[in-house]
Formats: sequence, C-alpha cells, structure tokens
Amino acid sequence: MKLSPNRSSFLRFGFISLLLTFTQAAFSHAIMTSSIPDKESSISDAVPAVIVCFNEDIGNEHRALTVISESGNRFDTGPIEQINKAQELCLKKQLKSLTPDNYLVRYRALSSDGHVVSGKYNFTFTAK
Amino acid sequence: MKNVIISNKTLAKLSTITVTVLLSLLAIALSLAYKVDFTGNAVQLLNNTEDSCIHSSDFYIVRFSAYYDPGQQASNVDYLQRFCQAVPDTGPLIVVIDLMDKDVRDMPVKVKFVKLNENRAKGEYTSTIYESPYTKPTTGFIKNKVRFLNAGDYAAYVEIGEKSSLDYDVVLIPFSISSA
Repeated sequence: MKLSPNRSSFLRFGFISLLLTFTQAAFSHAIMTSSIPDKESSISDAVPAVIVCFNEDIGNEHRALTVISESGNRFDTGPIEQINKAQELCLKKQLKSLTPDNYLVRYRALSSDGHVVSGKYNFTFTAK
Repeated sequence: MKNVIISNKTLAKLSTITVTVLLSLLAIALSLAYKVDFTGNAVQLLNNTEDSCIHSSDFYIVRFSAYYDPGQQASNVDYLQRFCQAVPDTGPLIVVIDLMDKDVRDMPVKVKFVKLNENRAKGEYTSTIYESPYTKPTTGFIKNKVRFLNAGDYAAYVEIGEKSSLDYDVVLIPFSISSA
C-alpha cells in the first residue's frame, strides 16, 4: 500500500503526538486548579481566608501561601491549613481584614512526584 | 541472494522515517531522564534524598550544593561529591544555589556567606566571608567560589528581589564546615 505524502506526514505527526501524550500522562504532576479569591479578579466583599487548590495530592514540606498588598503589608496570618475535597486538595490561610488595594498571592507546594509547584497571581479588593 | 534495488526517492523516505522515529525515541528518553515538564507550571524536581539540601522562605525555594574547588588539583579529593549541610574540611568551595522558582530568573539575586557566632539562635554573625554582587540568574542558578579558612557554623543568606519591592525575601541556609 502506498501512502500519499500528506497521509504519511499526518501519520508521523500522529505517532509523535501519541508518544508525547503518553509520556506526559505518565509523569503528570499537581497543578493549581482554582483559588479564592480568583486569579486576577476584583472583589468587593472581603474574604476571611485565601484558598488555593490543586488537582492532586501534594506533600507536606515547603508549603507556602502568602498575601501581600501593593502598599507592602502582609495580610496572611496563622498556619496553613489543608482542605481535602473530592477532586482537589486545597491550602488555606486566614487573612487579616482587607483594605481596598491590589494584592499579590504567592503559593508553593511539592507535587507528590517531587515537582515544585509555585506561582503567583493578583486580585483587587474594592470597598462597597 | 536476491538484489534489492532501492530508488533515491524511497531511500529519502526511509531516511525521513528513520530520523523521525529516532527523534521521537530521543524525546521520550529525555522526558524519562529529566521528567520534562510539558505544562510549564512546575519548574524543578526534588527527590526525597535531597531534603537536607532544600531551603525555603515564605516566598522562595532554593537548593544548596557545595563542591570542593577542582582548581586545587589535590589527588585525594572527590570534586564531584556534593555537600549540603556538613562540609568535611575547610578550603575553597564552589557553592551553587539553584533557584527553583521560575520568576526569580528575572529578579536581582545576591548571596552573602557569614560565619555564625555561638549565639546563632539570635541570627547574629561575626563576619561576612563573601558577598556576591546582585545578578539576574537567567540560567536558574548562581555559582560562587568561596574560601572558608576556619571550621565552624556558617550561613548563606540568599537575597531575592529588590529591597523596596513586594517580591523581596531572604532564604537562610545554615551549614557547617569541619576541619579534617
């Protein structure tokens, strides 16, 4: 059977994509799936805590969750708590009373496969 | 024995297929060896045996590695051996700080090595051994050659970000050096 050049290229592309897909699936690791407040959101109701959720299990070591205002003050307080949900594992930290400002959230956890999962995002709190 | 004649066109096709398969296998091998992250979310990999080498602050996480300086050319020293918390002898060391947060690569970073006094619980130190200039670690690590003349307790202060910025934080790495 002779394949046309287009079909041959398509098969090669499919073969490589399939292999990469399987490789990735074998070594997938936790990613952040949701948060409160949401990424890049603007909220007018103050939240009592910041919550960051991951799609799979994370380790206990080197966890971090911080909230800092644009004016340079830390608003997170107390220890990090863990919340187990059906499809997610979340980290939660209490917040001091928010004042209208832009805030930066930083999070970090170790995926169960050893990867460091870290990132940051902003949200804005505006008074009602 | 039957001779098989292959045209140049067929040979070119076979070569293309062979190269494609080989590149695919190479990609898989590299993925398996280094656990390449395709999502771009996570940036570094730890294994359980490296816990003593990893240090973190509220904002950042780094990996500390010290090696004896190969420039010494001593015959009885393993220059590939890595130390994290306890270095067995004094002398010049190559100290590597891996910066495991991706955003740090665009930020100014410096490291200061100090000798701790006996009152180290208060975070006091007696003398600065070496202080690097601020650099942007675009490759994800910073490397310094530092000469430690005396045994004792030391610490590396890794300063990340500009002091006036929201991103500024310091990772403290304690370690000790013995005298063989």
